[in-house]
Amino acid sequence: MALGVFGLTSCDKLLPDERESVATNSSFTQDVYAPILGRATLYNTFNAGNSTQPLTFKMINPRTYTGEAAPELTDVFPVTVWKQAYTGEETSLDEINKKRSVENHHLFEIREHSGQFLMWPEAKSTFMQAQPDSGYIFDIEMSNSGGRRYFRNMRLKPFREIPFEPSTQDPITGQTTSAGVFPSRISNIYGKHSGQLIADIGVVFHKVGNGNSLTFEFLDTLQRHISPQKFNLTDWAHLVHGFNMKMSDTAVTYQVAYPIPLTHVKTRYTTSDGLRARVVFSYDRMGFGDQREVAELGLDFAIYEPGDWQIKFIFVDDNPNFDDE
Amino acid sequence: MRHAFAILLTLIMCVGIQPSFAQTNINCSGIVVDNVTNAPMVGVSIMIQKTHKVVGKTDDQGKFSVSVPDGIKLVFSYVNYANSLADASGESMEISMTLKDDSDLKDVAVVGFRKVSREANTGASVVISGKDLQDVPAASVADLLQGKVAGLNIQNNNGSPGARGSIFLRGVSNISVTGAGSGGYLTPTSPLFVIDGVPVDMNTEYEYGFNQGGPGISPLSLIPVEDIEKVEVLKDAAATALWGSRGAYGVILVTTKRGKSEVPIVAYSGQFYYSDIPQLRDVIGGKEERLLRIRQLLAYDSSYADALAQINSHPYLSDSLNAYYNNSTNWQAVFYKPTYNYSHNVNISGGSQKFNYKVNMGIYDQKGIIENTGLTRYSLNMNTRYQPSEKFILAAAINSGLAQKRNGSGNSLVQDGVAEGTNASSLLPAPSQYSENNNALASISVRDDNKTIQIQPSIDIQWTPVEGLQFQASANYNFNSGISDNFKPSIINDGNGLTTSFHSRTNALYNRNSVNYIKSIQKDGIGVHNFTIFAFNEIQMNSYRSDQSRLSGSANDYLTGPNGYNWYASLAGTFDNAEESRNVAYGGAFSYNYKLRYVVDFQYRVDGTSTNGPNIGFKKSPNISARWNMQNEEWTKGWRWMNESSLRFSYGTTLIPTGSIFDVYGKFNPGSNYNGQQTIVSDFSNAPNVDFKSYTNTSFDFGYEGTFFNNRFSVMYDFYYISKDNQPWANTLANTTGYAKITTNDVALVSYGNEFTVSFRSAPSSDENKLSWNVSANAAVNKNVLTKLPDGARQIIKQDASTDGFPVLYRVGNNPLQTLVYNTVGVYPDNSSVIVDPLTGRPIQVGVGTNMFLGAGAPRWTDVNGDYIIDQNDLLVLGNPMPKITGGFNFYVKYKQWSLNANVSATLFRDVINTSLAGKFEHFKDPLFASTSISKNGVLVPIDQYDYWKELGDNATFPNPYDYLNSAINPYRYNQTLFFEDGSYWKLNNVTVSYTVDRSWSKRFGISSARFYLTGANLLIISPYSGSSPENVTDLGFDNANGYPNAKNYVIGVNIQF
Repeated sequence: MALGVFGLTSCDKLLPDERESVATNSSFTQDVYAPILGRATLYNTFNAGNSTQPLTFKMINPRTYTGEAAPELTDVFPVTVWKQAYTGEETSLDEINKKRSVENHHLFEIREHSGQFLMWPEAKSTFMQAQPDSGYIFDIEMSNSGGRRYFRNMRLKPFREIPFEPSTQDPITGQTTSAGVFPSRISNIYGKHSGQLIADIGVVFHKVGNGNSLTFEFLDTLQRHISPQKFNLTDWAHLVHGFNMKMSDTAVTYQVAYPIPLTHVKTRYTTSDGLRARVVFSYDRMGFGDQREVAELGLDFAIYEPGDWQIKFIFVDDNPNFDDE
Repeated sequence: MRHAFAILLTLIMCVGIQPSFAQTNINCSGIVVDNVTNAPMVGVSIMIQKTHKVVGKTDDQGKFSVSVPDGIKLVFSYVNYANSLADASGESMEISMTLKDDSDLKDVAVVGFRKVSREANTGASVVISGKDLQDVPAASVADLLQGKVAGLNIQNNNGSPGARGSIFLRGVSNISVTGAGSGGYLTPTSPLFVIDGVPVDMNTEYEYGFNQGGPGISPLSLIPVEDIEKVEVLKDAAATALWGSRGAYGVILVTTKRGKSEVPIVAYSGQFYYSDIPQLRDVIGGKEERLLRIRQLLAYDSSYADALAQINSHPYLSDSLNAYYNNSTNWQAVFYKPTYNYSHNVNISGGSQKFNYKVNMGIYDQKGIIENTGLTRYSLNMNTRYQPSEKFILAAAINSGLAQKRNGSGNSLVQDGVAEGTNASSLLPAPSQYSENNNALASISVRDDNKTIQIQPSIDIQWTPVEGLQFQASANYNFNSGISDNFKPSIINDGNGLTTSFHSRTNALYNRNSVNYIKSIQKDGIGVHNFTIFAFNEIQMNSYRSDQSRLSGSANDYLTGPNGYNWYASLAGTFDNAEESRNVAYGGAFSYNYKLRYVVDFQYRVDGTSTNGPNIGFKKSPNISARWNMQNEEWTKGWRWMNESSLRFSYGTTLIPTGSIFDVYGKFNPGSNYNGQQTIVSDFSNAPNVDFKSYTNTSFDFGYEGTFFNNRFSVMYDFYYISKDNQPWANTLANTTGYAKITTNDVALVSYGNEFTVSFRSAPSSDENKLSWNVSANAAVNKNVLTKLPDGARQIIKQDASTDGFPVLYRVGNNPLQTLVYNTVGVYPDNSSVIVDPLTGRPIQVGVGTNMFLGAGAPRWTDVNGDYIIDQNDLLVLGNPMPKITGGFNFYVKYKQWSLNANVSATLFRDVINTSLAGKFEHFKDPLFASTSISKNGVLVPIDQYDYWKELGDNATFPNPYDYLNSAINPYRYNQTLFFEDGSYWKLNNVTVSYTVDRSWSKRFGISSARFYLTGANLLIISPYSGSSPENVTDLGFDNANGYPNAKNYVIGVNIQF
């Protein structure tokens, strides 16, 4: 028996130790990261291959393209983090804000064990070098108890902020390239003058202050306000995830939390993929031949920058006919 | 020489006359019988104990009559039997002799091709007598070896008649896995079986049966267990060396009976047995099943209105008055039924040393406990031996068997059809042509005929021209033909009757010629220096080919040919695993011993095989072994308490060809037509590897054997260390090479461990009515360590399409096969307890980009890499499916004519994934049968006894099974710690009570011996495991929910000898 125990222990010495593996086929599928500043961006680009998980990642020596120190990447900044899951069922701004708090983070960081890159929305082009600048260079150290490996000269080339989507802005220069955008969905809207279906409707985003509100306005061909109440089928209470709705003859305003949508989770206020908020304005009228027609005007959008934002729907060629035939 | 002997004899007679007058001679007479069978024993030699002088032999009725001096003791001796000692007396003597069992070490062992005495055997081997196996019904002898040999791990994880479980001798031998997860199988590495000198490769034969058509009958199930004389398990390199070209997984020699008695013996053994079904699961039947589904929909659908709409639109939920949905069918009873089975075997044998013969005829019929499955075997084994002179022996044998197997709707390994069928909803009506459950019909109405015919002729010639020099030639042929005909009636196959015919042929030819020279330098009549020199050459040829044709759309269910109307769906061809291979080997052995105290063996062989790369050439395998018999030392003569005590060691290499010729030379395929000419193009799926090697087993063994206290206590211990190198591995190549893969020999593992066998027995006694008993126990502690992976990798996770969701981890320095699982730490009591990605505000999600989030009632899986996503990066290594300890107990007690025999086997310390428990909960995940059907997955199983999540705030063990809208997160995935269990078990293999009829009584009816017995087989399993059976588990540690359960057998058996 003693011999056997001896045999068992002595054999272990002859055999290779069990060691965590650091494999050559572990890789990042992407070397150049170009997030848009002002938004939360998450990159899932690490492929562990045959390495033993969990691994530990460290970002080393972030520097500008010319090799100078980049304090904007090495310093920590206060950022807003989620503490609890946003569900879309919160009943007040306070309740939403209670789910968030402020922590200090590097603005561009790598998650310690997963190798995910994250860019916090607090990173702004006012102090970061955005494209067309060559951006930054950094190295990644990957390690576990079995050893370490370096991924060198990875690039960060952020784009400047694009405050809303759909955007009218050139991503590199930041210059506006068009006056406005178009609604995502138009159906059964007949022109007052032509009597035909109308399609030429513009959408314009305006930031008018630094509050936390979102206003929708509708303008006719002469830039006169159309009362939102004319869109009589609209579910105003659940149009956006906002509170304290104030409706006047010219506009409807909500107190909202930014960004819109708050997270990429599907709620009743978003598209089915959760990436954009979805608003639908609707009305009905008796159409030609005494047939009820339901008209819809919809927009899928996102706004990343907090503020008092207005979204204006402008009827360019013809005004909508809200009256029965 | 002869003259010298004559002169000597004359002298002795002259000198010896005088003292013989001093004593009075008496006439001893009597009969010698076998202790167990009471059969008279022919040719037992009778010796005077003091002088070792042979005074006579028993005649053909076992009787003897000798004239010996008064007051001396007589020794009766016979091969394989323990010597009996008796006082010479004038009265009629009845001597009973006992066959030696395996615990008695002074046996004859077959090492390589030579028979040597135990004392001169330097290898590690164990002999099991056929008598120890024959009271238990089993198609295959392998099933019966479970728990009997230390280091031989047998798992009967397949109860299908005629198939076999998995066999590992001294640890895992191959790490390659086919299939995935609960359907994954380790490449079988069964030891080489040599049946009366005919090598039978179990691994390749078996492979064909399970993943394709084919009858799936293990070649070993063609040998009737009743005909087995003994089974010898060769464990180390010294023992297997001469089978070395294919012995790397170990060798098991099976020897069938021979004629011994000059009086012909007709022996009949019959078994009648009842196979009972194991405990089946409880199911919820009828109305309760419907109400449970309705409650589930009302509680968990997206809205009440939608739930009502769904209920009303699904007739099996709402239309309770419909006769089609208003049933409570017990589907398990449709498929599982207890059966009555039998086997008959007649053995006719007789002959003397000069000529003997045996004919064994048997029929074995086992109906499986699953409907429409079973095995019927007819066997005829014959052998004869002619010895015209003392210098020449010719032995010839034919072992043949025909087996017919019915696989039902499954194949030999899994019963998918039945598994689906028993998962049908109880609401459905019992099977009929108009019912929905095709699997039920299929398993009952499929016409399935699987036959295997095996013929193994063999011939052996021994010629001893001068004393000490022996030439031996043996040749044998193994022909195995498998035919599988299957017809699926049109009603269950979408209106197309489907005929499938499969035909396979295996041919193996084996020839060996050897010369053996024995020289003993004697002093005082004792061999002092004993030499053996042995040289041989060996040729093996193997070929295999299988064809299958499929005819779709037969005219009707009775005319299944010649042409179907659905000819474009009819196919025929040869499987791509056709094989032809050759092995050539030559080698020799040199053995020396000094007074049987010190034994040294050198063995050497050179092997060439057609699956070796041309650059590798012949593989040379040296082997050295030695033994020290302490009992033969002068200084131990006074140790009366010790009978035997010996140390042995061995070191050497054995091989087994792996891979195929295509791994070595690549492959060409017929290509497209070019200018009217057929082209031949290279197949780029596999690059040739001209350095391809055979699998190599290099083993070191150190052993001790001892018997003490008048053979009452014996112990055997072995330590082994085996390096298993050159395992094939298909490496993926960079696409710049043009080829997809290359097979190399870059995988190696090491197995080491300890084996213990201890046995105690009662004091030997010649009085057969006295209580005698024998208890033996064996255990093996085994450890396997992976030592090498291709390209120097430390770790490989095998994760291809076939293993999706159930990757296998190979990591150097650890167990060769490891199970990767998600770590489940309870269940989320509510939504707010799920942690949130601080950047995105999303709760933990399942899979990348899926938008499936964990919430209340979902399992709390550990997010190992902290990415707030549960995916394969979060798998942890937590289990080892290989048992650390295997062993067994054998218990035998005999009193007067009664005896009791029990056998227990143990498999300890291994991890099993309880897929059947997971399956119970999974049945709730699709109440509307969006992705499955009510006839395949409609069963509901009571889960009230489990602590599962019911309402917000519950801290439960099991996730909420009812939340079907979120079932996409797959809360009941198998590979999580929730279903991880200790798969250790103790199994009562069999208990036999037997009664031997008093010989003097039975003789009146012309019966020389009769024995009746009752056996219970597979009676009881003691295990902490909560699933149905810890034995019905794949080699990768998954409870095989679709597997074939092992039946419980209750046997009435009889052995009669005329």
